[in-house]
Amino acid sequence: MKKSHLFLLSFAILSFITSCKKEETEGPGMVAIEFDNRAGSADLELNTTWYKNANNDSMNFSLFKYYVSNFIFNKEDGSSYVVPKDECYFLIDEADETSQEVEFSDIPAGKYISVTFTIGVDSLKSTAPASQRTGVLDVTTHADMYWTWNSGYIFVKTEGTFSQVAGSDFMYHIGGFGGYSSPTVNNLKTITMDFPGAPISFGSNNHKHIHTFVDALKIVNGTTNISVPTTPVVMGGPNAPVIANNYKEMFKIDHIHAE
Amino acid sequence: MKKIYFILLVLLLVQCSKKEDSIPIDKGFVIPDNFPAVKYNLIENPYSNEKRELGRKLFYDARLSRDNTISCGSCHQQFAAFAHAGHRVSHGIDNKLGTRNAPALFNLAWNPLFFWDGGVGDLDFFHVNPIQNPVEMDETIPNIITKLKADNNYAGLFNKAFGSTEITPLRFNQALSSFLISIVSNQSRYDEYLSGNTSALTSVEKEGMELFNQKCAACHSGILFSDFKFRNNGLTTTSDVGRFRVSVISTDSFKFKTPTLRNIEKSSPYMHDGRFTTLEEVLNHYSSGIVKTTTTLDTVLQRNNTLGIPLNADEKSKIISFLKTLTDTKMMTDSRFSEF
Repeated sequence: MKKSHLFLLSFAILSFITSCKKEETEGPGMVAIEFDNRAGSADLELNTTWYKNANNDSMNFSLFKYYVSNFIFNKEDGSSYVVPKDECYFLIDEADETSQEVEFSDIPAGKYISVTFTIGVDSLKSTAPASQRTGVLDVTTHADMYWTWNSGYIFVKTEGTFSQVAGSDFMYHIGGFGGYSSPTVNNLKTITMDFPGAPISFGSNNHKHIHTFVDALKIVNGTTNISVPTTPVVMGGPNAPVIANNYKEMFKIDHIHAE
Repeated sequence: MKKIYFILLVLLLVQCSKKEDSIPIDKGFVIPDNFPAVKYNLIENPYSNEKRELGRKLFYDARLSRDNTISCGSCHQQFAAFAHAGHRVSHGIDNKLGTRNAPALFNLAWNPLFFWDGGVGDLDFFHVNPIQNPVEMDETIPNIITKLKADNNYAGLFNKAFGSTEITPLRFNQALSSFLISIVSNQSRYDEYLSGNTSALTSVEKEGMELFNQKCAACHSGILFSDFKFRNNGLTTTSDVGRFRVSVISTDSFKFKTPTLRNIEKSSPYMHDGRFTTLEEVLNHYSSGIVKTTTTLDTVLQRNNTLGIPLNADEKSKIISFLKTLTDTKMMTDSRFSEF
């Protein structure tokens, strides 16, 4: 008897505290992340502009697309807000401006220091039934981002030319979620971008816009520089993990401003 | 004694009822008691005979190819256990050739991975492969959906199968899967023997079975006659690196999935590239044709520092006699799986 009284009492106190807090607390806020594709220090423009990478190779991009997923916003106090999985898969396409800004409408108010996300589509989603893969994950409407022969999404895909000479095309298609029942290559990369000027307040009075630069040249520049004329095509194989290690460095927050 | 009379009575009744049922009841997809757990996701796509029937129509519909000339059934023939009789590698649109042998299709509900290299893990995501492959059907699923919508018959079939006339890629894939999983092969003479009829196999075939269990069952194991693992079986290599292509793990080089041996008599040619035409050639390979030109040759094939599996001519012939008892004529003539 005593125990249950104690339980009820503590419950009452707890709910009192919670309800008091609610009145004071700011509601959840909206956070947008803009993926602004770049080539080195310049803005990325498809087809029209030539860029030089670290090897001094020329590159003209005709396509640049990638999946980002599983966003987690990390708070100053060490806790974090995990965006519901179903709202968390995005396909950023340089050719489609509407794809380049992703919005999260319900981020609890608080002071945040960084955002964590996955480049690609995690293994659980990559093996989920077709009915659970809609929108950007529908492999019939986004067949160009899916390997049918080695079931799995292409995480990062870029194509273009490296010289005016005909046939000088480069193609980098990187995927690999780790396999169904037997292991296969795993090129999933989870990265954390620190917020400049952290902590940043999110909340109903603090809608924020995170302007992120994504440097396409990092695909071939980084831990291991890839010579584009020597290795113009990578679609799986031993160079895919090398490129995945490079492109995990391509995301960097430029600035955060109020929305 | 009473017991015997009772059994006789039951037998008599069974016999009678069998005669009366001139048309067998279509029980659809039945999971045999002695098979392992089904791998296919039946919760996501529950089986129905209506889905199977729609899937059967799609399987034999040449509009699944770019120029409407090739259906799934073109390269997966029922009389060949749904393999491609007489074709070393897949033979597709515009007379183009693939690089690997079209496998037999049955008991697919138990397959953990598809393709010789296991690149696909979900049957619903398999069908797009031969469809999009430029040397097979060279078509896209959205195009196929458009073609199907133009045919009034399909709306009714989709309605029966899925409860509305809507034709979608998901339903298309699920119907094909339902048809494919319904093709169960478990009515061979060997299965009859397993069910208790010891006279279903001859004494030579039983000797062959014993030899098979000693010499072959390390890989071709269990009721499905495959361990579904990837193994390098000592063939001279080609540019096809097998499992390595999907795993990018060097120890997977030149490994291919162990194929089932059910209906093997009818699904010639053999090996991932169809290089052998007869079972004799296959057994000769295992006894004296194994080469060790790679580091990934299976350990089973190099025991006691000897390459291959020791087999004499008599043993080979007995093993082949046994393998022929795995032929399931009922499955290969079942009208539920036929084109017409």
